[in-house]
Amino acid sequence: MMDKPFAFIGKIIADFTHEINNHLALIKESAGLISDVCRGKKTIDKKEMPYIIESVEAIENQINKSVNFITYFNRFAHRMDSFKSTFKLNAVVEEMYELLKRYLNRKKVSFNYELPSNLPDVDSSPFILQFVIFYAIDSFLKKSQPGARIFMTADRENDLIKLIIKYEGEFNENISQDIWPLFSVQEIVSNTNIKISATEKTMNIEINL
Amino acid sequence: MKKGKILIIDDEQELVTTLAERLNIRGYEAHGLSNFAGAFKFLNDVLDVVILDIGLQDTDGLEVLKRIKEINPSIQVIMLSGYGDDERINKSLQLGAFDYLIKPVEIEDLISKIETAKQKKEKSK
Repeated sequence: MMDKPFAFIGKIIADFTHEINNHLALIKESAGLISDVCRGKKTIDKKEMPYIIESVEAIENQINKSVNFITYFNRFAHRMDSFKSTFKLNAVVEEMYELLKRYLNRKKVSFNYELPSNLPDVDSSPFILQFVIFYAIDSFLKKSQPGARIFMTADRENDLIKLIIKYEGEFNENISQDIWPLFSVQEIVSNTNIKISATEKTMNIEINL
Repeated sequence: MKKGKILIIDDEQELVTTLAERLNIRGYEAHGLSNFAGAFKFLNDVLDVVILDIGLQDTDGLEVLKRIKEINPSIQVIMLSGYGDDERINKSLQLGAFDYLIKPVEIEDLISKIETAKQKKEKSK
């Protein structure tokens, strides 16, 4: 049963390391270009200065992007510290958005979310919730067509917070990747206060407050 | 005379520009593209090596590799990717990539691969 959460963690780590490798590649090439231009010289020619300035700026920008991305990844990793905790739904969704952005871009699917800022803190398993959100998005992405859109909203209804993840667009009929059956995910969430149900293009996640 | 004609295709425009510049400094004629759409004009030309990323904005890098090999099988393609999983590496080699390098890469290692790829291209003539 745990193969699916492990696959989810693996996917997040693989995409994270890929992204960081890309950041490091640009830092390395930019530093290398500065070195190429400066090597063996006592003074730098005026016409070579733009290369150096642009390379230094590229390094700074890339480091800032990396720090930002690592912050999200670090927060994601700490969601697994304890099975149950009190957390802000917006923060959990924001992390998933940032960590899945590149996957969504590769599939050419846009993802937007609009959550009310006044949602109460949630007492549940943040990791399992992120897994369920991932499952919903991943299920759509595995059969998505370029140009489609995924939209997430949330609302409070009495003692429930309802998260709705909707797919807008056509599905690819020739699906080459396995999609986990919904019941296997329902089994994983069964010992939490999270419930998941689905129709063809909508996933509903309910969290009991 | 230039050491060889190289095309870099990677969706990170800054990386493309910087890497092309570093290869130009080393005596190559390097061109860079951030998508596959503009690549056709190079592929029927006298191109020695393509340095290709897997994750492109407009299409999948493996698809691009397949199309390059269909259009001009003599062009040697070096995959350069942040992904280092066996599946992508094996698939790339099966589709005819000369080699698969994982980012970030030492420029001297890349040049060594380019030179070996050029030799392979010469032998295949």
